[in-house]
Amino acid sequence: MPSRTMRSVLVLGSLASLTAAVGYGMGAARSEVTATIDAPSPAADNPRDDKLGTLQRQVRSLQRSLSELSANRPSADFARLQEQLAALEARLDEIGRGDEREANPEANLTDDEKRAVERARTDVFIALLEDHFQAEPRNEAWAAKVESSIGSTLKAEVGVVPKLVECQTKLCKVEMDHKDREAEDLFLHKVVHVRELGDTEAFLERHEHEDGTISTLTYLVGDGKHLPATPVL
Amino acid sequence: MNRNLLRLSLGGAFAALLLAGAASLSPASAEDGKIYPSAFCAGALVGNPPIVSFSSDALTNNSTTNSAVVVCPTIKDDVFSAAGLNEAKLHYCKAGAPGFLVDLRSHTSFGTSVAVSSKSDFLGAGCRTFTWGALPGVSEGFYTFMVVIPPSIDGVATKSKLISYRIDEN
Repeated sequence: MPSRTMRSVLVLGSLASLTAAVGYGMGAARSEVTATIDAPSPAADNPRDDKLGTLQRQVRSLQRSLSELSANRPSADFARLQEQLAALEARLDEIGRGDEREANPEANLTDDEKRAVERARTDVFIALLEDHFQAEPRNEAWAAKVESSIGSTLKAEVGVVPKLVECQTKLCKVEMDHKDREAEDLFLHKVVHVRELGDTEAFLERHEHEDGTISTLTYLVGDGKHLPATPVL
Repeated sequence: MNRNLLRLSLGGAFAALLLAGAASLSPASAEDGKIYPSAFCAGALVGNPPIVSFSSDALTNNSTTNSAVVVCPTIKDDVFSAAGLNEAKLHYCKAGAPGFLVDLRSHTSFGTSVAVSSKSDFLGAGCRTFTWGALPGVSEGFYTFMVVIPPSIDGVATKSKLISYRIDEN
């Protein structure tokens, strides 16, 4: 059983993930917003209690909105988010009953727990990027040119042919296996400097295997454009 | 309504939470940038005289044939923040067309890269500035600049050099 402090961090981390998922949708479909957030109450004497109360009200508001949305449109995403919100609400209640005052409870996490937090954060953002990628139409001329350039650059300068290179209108994704960390580092430097992409932003999901090899999934956007806003955890 | 639109609807709801949360949990946004002289950077001093020379004002590539690769550290002043960088800049000069390349990388506490934002300049001689916007961060992670300084060119007064860089976390 994780410690109280650790669970606090993990659950609050979930809130951070949820809030971060938002940046992805902030630029579009604002008219689709159906949730309402309770107005903040007057400041409490204790700033910590005030923040806690605000978060609790926000979570309850989100739960109500989520229930309304999911009643007519069931989805696995909603179910997962509902579970996270329920866990978060329970944890906030627990914090409210307790006396946890640590300024930085993250410091108590073990390395494995930190890895789990980082994995959760990455999973959320990769899912968002993949959704975005799938939603983009394919600009055949641009995509074919950039795919070819990425493939040939990696083959020539890294010595490995990527497992997958796919581009759409502005997003590309590259799946690659690396023999070690050094090879992964070289790949990363080369793939973000493919000339046809110009200035690039990239986000990586990586898996280290028992034999020391590494697999990466990289989403790239070029021409000085930006990836969607990133989850904070 | 398709799945993506549903997600955007939900995203809107969370946007409100994000804004409210930010208001309740974070201090007011403020400039908190740190500027680092290029002497912070580390790299191989290859050759005799060395390809790369450090001075108080710049890190210069003296080679007329080889690019120099240096890594420039930063100090994360909010250790547990995962909010990432707001902005970064890097001031440099270059002697000619060969590319001045920079990767701004966000690392986990275990050293692995999670995000990279690259800039490159293939223009002619001159002193210019790269500017980055937001970059994701990780609690207890760190940021580095990986800089490829192109060769200098005989007869060109401007040598290729890295002058300084900065990041702003808030």
